[in-house]
Formats: sequence, C-alpha cells, structure tokens
Amino acid sequence: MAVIYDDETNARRKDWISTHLDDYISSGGAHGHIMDLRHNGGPRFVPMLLARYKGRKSGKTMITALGYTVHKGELVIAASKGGADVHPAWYLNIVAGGPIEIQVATQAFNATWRELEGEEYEAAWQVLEANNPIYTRYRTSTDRAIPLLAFTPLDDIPVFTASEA
Amino acid sequence: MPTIYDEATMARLYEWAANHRADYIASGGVRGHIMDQTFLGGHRYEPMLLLRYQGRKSGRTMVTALGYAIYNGEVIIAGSKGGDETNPAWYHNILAGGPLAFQVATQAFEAEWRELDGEEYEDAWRYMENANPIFTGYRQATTRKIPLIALKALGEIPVFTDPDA
Repeated sequence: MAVIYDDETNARRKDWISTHLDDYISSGGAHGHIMDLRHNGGPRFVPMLLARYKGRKSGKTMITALGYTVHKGELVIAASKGGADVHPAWYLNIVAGGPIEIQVATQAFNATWRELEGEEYEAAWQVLEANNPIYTRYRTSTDRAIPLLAFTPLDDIPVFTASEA
Repeated sequence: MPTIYDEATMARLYEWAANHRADYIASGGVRGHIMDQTFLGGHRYEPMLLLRYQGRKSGRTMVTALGYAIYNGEVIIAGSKGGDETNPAWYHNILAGGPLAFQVATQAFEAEWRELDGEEYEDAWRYMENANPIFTGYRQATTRKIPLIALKALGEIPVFTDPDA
C-alpha cells in the first residue's frame, strides 16, 4: 500500500477513521459531518458523508465515511485510498452494482451513481484539488487514475444505524 | 423584489423560505441543510447554511438561511437576493462588523469573513454559475455586481436558537 503517510501517521489515521465513523453513525449524523483535519495536515473545514452499500462477495451491508465535494448538484467522491496503488474496497463494491444510499449530516437518501470520465472528470478533479490540497498528493503518489464517483440523491430515507453496518 | 420567477414560483419560494428557516432553526439543524431546487430550475441537491449576524441599526441578532458552495476550501455565500437590484440586508449588516457565525446542518461555528474581489471574484463567480444554474439567472436579472463572501470557520459553538423566540 503506497499511501502517502508514514506508518505512525497511517496508524493514527486508521484510528481516527474508525472513531469518526462510529461517532457519525451513533450520533445520527449530528457529529462527524464537518471535520477539522488540521491535525493530519488537512484543511479546517472538510465535509464528510456516509455511503452505505453491499459487499460484492459477502452481500453484507457496509458503511464508509468519505470526503465529498458538491459539484453541479452531485456529490463527488474520490476513490483515493490515501494515494494507494489499488482501488478502495468501497469503490469495487459500488461499481459491482447493488443499492447505494448516502447520508449527509442528519439527512439520508437513496441515490444513483455514475463514474465521471473525460472532461467532466478533469473539471471535477480540479475542484477537488482546489478544495483540498491532499488530493494533489494522492494523485502524484500513484500511477492509477483515481476514480471519481458522482452521486445524485433521490428520496429521503431514515438515517443509518449501527446495526446495519 | 426578485423578478426572475413567475408569480406562482415566487409564492412557492416565499412559502418554502419561511417554513425552511423556522424548521432549520427549530430542529437544531437536523432538517433544512439540503434544498431541492428543481422547482426553481436548479438541482435536486443544494446545501443551505444559517448565517447569524447583528442588525447594524437595531443591534438585534438575526439568522438568515442561504445557499452555500465550497470553493478553494472556503465556504462561499452570494448576496444574490434572487436577482434583485439591491444588495440583501444581511450583506449590509455583516459589512457593518459585529459578531458573525454560521451553521451547517447540526454544526455551528464562529466565523471570519472577507469579500472576494478582482480575479478571485471572477474565478469564484464563474465556479458558482457553472456549479448552479440559478446563479446565471440572478446575474442576468440585475446590473449590480452580486457580492461573494467567503466564510472561515473558527471555533465550534452550540447550534443556533430562534433569535425572536
């Protein structure tokens, strides 16, 4: 895993990710939406959503917290995995099909998704990099093109609960 | 007042706005963050924040609901007032100084602000229009330059309560 972080930072990051996910879900989205990532060298104001999807092999329901950027009415997510050379599991699971739901703070929706390509990809990627310089480091740390998925929310649904994770 | 919508749409917008602000505040931000702007020719998903400031004459605390975008890592709000010829009252009030805060869903922050100018303004405005088609209509409806304000989140504070309660 050629992530851009050293071992110690990566351990702290994994710890943070796990605590953040638990708190986001257990608070019903009251906590965890806007994160201050300055302790990891990130920006002060980073919005994060929850994505709920099915494991492509297990069929199990899974929830992952991901940074997002609103662009042209869609929520754009980068499958960056910290700059690793392989795609994150959540990306492989989503593109395998199955229902997708997202939660932004205290509001959850079922959603459609599509993968951005060509000029649309370039335009959205520029916005992501401008919003958060960490994406520049992720991009330059791997040879793979980091996929961008765009979600469109449909209907309101109840917020996620831990038992579904 | 604003002119780019027909009467039926305006009536719907006013009704929506009155309910929306009250519900956003009363729910502690659990509801109100996400606006469906399809009835205005916009997107299904546009995020809204609450801005809290002081009246420049009355000294009273006021709360206004506004759309926002995140661009270059900053929270951007536009003094569009639906394409009206005059700047909105909140814009005059924040220019007069006084404490400023904003709330995104269930998280509120003390804030600093600055007005975008020159090339930075042009760049951000282009982004706003590109990201949300309703801004094109607003720009075309007025001869004034629609101000753009960048908000910087400082410390996290309790969510807002109704200032008129």
